[in-house]
Amino acid sequence: MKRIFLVAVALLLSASAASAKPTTQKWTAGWDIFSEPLNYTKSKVSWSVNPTKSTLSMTFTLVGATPSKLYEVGIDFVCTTFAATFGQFPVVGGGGTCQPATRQGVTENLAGVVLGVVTTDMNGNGSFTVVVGPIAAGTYVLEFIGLNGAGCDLIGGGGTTYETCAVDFQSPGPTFGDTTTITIP
Amino acid sequence: MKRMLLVAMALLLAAGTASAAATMQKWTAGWDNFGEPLNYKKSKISWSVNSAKSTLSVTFKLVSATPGKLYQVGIVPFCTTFPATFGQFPVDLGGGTCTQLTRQGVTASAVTIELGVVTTDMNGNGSFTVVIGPVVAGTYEVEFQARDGAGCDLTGGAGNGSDCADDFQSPGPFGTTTTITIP
Repeated sequence: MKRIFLVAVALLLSASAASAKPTTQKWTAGWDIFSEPLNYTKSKVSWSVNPTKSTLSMTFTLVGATPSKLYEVGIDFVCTTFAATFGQFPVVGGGGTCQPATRQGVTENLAGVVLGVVTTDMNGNGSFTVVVGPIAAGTYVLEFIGLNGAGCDLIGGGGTTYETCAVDFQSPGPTFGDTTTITIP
Repeated sequence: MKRMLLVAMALLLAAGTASAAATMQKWTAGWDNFGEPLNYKKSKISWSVNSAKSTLSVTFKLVSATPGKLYQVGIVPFCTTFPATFGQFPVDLGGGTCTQLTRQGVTASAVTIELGVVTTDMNGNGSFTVVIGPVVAGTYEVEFQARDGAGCDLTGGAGNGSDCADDFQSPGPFGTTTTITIP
């Protein structure tokens, strides 16, 4: 009986460890397009680090956006130089020296990673979850971004045009260069 | 001790109910494109029905497809007529009389619902999970599909061009269906 109880407790503990509470942050209007509809109260980005596996899990949730639309999501790192890859994803441009960009009156050097797409339903709601890793240990200073379409630096979408690549939503924001720090031990 | 054991067992049972085993099925080559790379052994679709919520959960997984590519995924019910919506998703062309298609020598009537996008990483791997619902009770004869890009009948992608072509289907070939019952 004791053994069964201990096994049950061990299973429960392992289950709770695998579903550690993520950090949740809000979207704000993007740095290119400011009029894209979104329920900023209900929309969010949730992320958590698994230190054992060196992975970063992220869920991008949009509520009240444009119905039946594709929003490519990813990360812009504020950096001087950056590796060619972030986990299993290639860095746009192949990494190396981070590229300067000026938005909302702020200039930063960036490297970008495209992670996936949020597809909205007929209510403008959708979400996308991705697990990135293993990631090289380090402290990453970044913003999450939601683009105005899908296919920016990817095959099979709208292509690398302003219409597709313009940033509709940023997190944390509200200003380009407002960042979140994520540490991979 | 007995009470603790009962609590622990109840929690385990609840966890088991919430993560009921999904049905898994393989991809096969699509009905339009036959040369798109994919590891057909490791790639799969997993789906399950939550009877209490009338929802259908689907996970589309691609392994060793083209790296850095978008594959729009959806569900294709074979039908005579179909409603305008499937859960929270609109049906392409608004539902009504199902559209007759001939592929791989088979003619059948169907509609399509666009559910999302699998984005592949630098190894050609990617997955996407969606929960659809509440879905109207009924028995649905469906195929799952993955298109050759993203934006078919959706805003913000490649539009209704070559990206609409079917790269992968499940179960396949065209017209071979999976039965999903929503109670």
